[in-house]
Amino acid sequence: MNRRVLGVVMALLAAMILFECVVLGYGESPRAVLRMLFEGTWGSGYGIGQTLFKATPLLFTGLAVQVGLRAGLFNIGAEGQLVVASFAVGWLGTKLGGLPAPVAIPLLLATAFVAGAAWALPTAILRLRQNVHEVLGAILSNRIADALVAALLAGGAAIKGTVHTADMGAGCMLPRLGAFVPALGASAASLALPLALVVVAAVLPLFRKTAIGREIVLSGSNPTASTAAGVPVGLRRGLAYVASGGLAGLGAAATVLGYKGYYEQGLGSGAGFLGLAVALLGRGSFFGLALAALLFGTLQQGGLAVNAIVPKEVMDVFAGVVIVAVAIADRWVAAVPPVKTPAAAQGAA
Amino acid sequence: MTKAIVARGMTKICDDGHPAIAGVDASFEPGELSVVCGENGAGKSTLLRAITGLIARDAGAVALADRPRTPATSSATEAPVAPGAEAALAAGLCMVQQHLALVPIFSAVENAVLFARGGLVDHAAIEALLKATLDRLGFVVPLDVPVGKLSVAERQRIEIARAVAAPALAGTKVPLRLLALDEPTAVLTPAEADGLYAVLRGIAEGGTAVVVVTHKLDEVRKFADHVLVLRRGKKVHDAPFVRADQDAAIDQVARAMLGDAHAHLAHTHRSSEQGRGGAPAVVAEGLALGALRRGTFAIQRGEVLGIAGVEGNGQGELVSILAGVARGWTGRVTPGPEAVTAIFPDRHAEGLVLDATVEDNLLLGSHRDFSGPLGLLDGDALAAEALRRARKAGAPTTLEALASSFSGGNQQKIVVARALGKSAPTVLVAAHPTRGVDVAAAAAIHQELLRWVAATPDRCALVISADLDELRTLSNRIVVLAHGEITGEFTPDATDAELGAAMLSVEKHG
Amino acid sequence: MIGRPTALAIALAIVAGGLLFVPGRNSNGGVAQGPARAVPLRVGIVFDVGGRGDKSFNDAAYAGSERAVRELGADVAYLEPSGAEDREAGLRLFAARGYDLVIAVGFIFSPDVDVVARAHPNVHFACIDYFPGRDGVPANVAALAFREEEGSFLVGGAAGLLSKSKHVGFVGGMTGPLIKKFEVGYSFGVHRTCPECVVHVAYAGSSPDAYRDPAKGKALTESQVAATADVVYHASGATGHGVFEAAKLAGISAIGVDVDQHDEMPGAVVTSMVKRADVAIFETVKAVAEGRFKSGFQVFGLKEEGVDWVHEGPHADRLPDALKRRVEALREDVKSGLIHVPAE
Repeated sequence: MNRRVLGVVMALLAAMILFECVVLGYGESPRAVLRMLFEGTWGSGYGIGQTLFKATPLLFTGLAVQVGLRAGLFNIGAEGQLVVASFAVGWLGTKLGGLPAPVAIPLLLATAFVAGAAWALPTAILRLRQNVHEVLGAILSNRIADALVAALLAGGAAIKGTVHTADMGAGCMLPRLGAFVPALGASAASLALPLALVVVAAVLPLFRKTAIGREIVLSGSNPTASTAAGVPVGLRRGLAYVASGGLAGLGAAATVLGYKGYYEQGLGSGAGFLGLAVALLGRGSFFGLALAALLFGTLQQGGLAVNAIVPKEVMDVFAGVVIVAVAIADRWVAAVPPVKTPAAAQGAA
Repeated sequence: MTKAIVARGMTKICDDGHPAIAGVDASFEPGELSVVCGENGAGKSTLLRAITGLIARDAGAVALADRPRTPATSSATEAPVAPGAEAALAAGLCMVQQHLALVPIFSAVENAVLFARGGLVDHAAIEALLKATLDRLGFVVPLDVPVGKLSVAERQRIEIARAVAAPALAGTKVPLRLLALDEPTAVLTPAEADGLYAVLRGIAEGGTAVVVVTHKLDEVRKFADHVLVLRRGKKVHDAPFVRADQDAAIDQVARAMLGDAHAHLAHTHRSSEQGRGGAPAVVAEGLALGALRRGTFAIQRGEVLGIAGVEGNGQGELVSILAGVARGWTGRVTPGPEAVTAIFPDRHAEGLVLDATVEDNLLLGSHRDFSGPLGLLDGDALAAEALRRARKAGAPTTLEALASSFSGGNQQKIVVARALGKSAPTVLVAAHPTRGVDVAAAAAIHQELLRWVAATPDRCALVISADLDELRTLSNRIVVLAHGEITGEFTPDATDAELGAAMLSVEKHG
Repeated sequence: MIGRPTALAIALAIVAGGLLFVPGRNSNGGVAQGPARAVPLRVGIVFDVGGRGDKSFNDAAYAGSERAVRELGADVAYLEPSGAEDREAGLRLFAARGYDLVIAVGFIFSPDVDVVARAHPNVHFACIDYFPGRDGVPANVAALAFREEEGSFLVGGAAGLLSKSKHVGFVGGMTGPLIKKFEVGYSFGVHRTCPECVVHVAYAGSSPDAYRDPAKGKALTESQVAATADVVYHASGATGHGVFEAAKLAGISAIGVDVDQHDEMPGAVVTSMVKRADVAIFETVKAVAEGRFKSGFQVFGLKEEGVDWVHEGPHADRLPDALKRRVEALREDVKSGLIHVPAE
């Protein structure tokens, strides 16, 4: 078996044991709770749809963080970029009442990307011009994003007395997957999911297939050597960070365009931070990112399903345990020498 | 009584499945200075790192033995050494790695603290121990500045002192039984190298088995008691060095290293190119940055200018300025960095992207030339160009392998291959172009370097090296850089003594 | 031969699998049984994000549902979503599991309740402080509302009697009709018992942040103290902490809101206007249990005991008995219809 897969399986088993112990601590039967969790996620059409819905923004933010990581930058600002992009899309959508979908949707997606990218730009400039660490810049910009969007909502963008914008025009919504696959029921999964998969599949190969992509990776890996060899390192890393912001912003496709049809304060919050976990577990491969997004989507939706028994704080801890366990198992599997002959070694590498 | 160190059947399989070393036996006697020779990638470093537990071995055993030159079978009197760095250290086996493993922002003492074991660390005691060790070795190094600010040679002295003191630092009572050094003279001037060997001799006489990895036959000739030669992961020569019949012994070692077919490469040529006249290709006036105080010189078209000098006298700054990566410097230089291709002094910091592939490293900075329609790269053209560059400098041609998976010498060849592979620039700035590279490859690099300069009439090169032979081989003219200034100019047949006097010249302005 | 990782993985799988068969302490085959009914009424309550433990609405909702468990034998399950996009999913989970009544705690659920209620016409829904959308209240939704103006009227009456300087203060959160009700009812009450009293009105802002700005609350209260106000009532969420702080420093009386806020600042808080979310929820559960569930706006005022003021027990120690009697008389007047409290 592939050793990485083995490591992940081990980590998930260990996390599951912990989960079962916690459930026992609450005096419930692990089997009943796990069945509840399963029924709320993969055990019903609606559950599957919700899990996919939860995974969709994570695909975008996970990809976003991954793009930053390739350039050696830790985009912890995906959270704020997504907030700003979601608001921008929700606000613009209310102005596009009459536009048909083929015009409105690309326009809104472009808006989401540009808004997220614009929100990442100051952090990128601070990092690459003034050497202010991108994590600091991102924490600041996350805070500002929350405050700014709250102020804009209160300042007239929201319907009076609420914290959400008005409904967008009819042509602004991405159709629900339930419209094509009736089994998914009224779940919030939408065409944003295939869109996310296409974006991930399209963006990842760019690091190998384009000169700029390769230079981004090389710049991120050793900026000094890349500078010495004539690569415009600042531009490349800046581009990667800003693109990362744009990709995080596209997460709004799942929540605003695919689900609510308006922006509401708090919509999509947490997806930016979970994107970090998705990127770390996904390790930059398409399937890695997709599986990691599904895993955390399942945990989120499953957490809701068993929330009556297991409080959400415990589920948050549990998600953290999964991340740490996968990281440890990964290292451990890599560190334990296999029973190897030269040929076996080749197979494992 | 001190014991010999015996290693049997040492095997290490690389990630790509081929053995770096396969079934190598070796034994090192206390009091002896052994030299391990071989081409780049022959497995020299791997062998010593496996013995000192720095890397996990895939097969083989290490033991302490009473009888000298223990035969290939083990005996009851031996004490086995378990795998792992801790066990090796507990047995008194230490190594100074080629790429110095010091934390740059820590001082020498703080770096030594990292080696200490136990709960609480007695800073003062460690400082005293380190100081005593440095004194005993005759090294003078400032202990309280961050090591990142020291020269490579100074850092190496700290590393050696730390290794010598390692068993004591770790709180064990065992003597230092084995001190292995991986290409310690690669970064040193000849005088510094001689000094280092004198120190190592002293350590050996204290009852330690000293093992030095090198491929400089000159060092074998002058200092080796015992020579072990590896080729492609196998031991091909293991014998005492008979100084009575030096030339035959050296020839034997060279043949073992290179294989008979290539032995002639060990003796190389000298540049006969002369300056082509006309306006100078490079004019530098009053360049100043850090240790570099006044870099004023000119290079003619077709000329190779050699720069000799003790490390840390402004060489690194000079390269940075010419290559256009330095900031905040003063002075004037033509042409600008776009006309310069450079080999930087520190191949790990400035030369390579270690976790990128050989191909990407060979093409670093040139990828944009291969963008096709839609901005997509032409993979075949990339590979073809990478191969062309690699072959010229004898660099690895396994394009998909990671740069980090190669030995230091092969990594250097990648750096050189990239610098020489560019055709647009007219000025080559080469700092230590063959540092850590074996004799045969060094000769090939020299040839390629001179061929690059000669390829068009307007090219020239500036070569910085601690190896005076290399400078004499390549240069039409040698200047000495001391205290950040050019202090002397020589023809290529200047003697070591002449150059050395200029290198160590006292500061003129008090 | 298998390597160490594989062996460990197998061991982990065995433990994880084995734990599945350990029965839980509380579970006898699944769901806990209620005491009274053979088929208990199943009620699902969805708290707001971060709502549990808020010492306010969500906790009051919890108290009301626990009472329904004790007195009606209802089987109640709770759920707290982890983000804005989970509110609807939480409601759906209960609806899909066939719960009889699904309760959403807070106006923010309004659009979610609309969608889910229309998708599950056979399930009863209730939403506290529900705010109707374009299509009105769905036929299976009880919109639980409170006559905050009536509760505010009582504490206003108390403030008019307490004030010696004849100046009293009001600090609101976000400007808008929601808080206006509090202000109007309060002023009405003050002037009822003290016609010559002056009410100083201030709002903390026009954004939702106005409910989370204690510094602003403190500053506003200090300016009212400067205008010689000696009683201040707030309806401003966490901003009220600042109001209490300023009241404590100035040595004047403060009046809490929504729940009994005595413990937030003992010594300053003399009483509180209480919204009985617990009563509203208990009554709704009871209505469903007795088959008389009514959709549309269900308004809880003084008559329905949906609003109240703190006038008993140690938390009302500092109110003179004469004052309590005066204000309780006002309550009776409202209940009997003698007094109509305006809301705007």
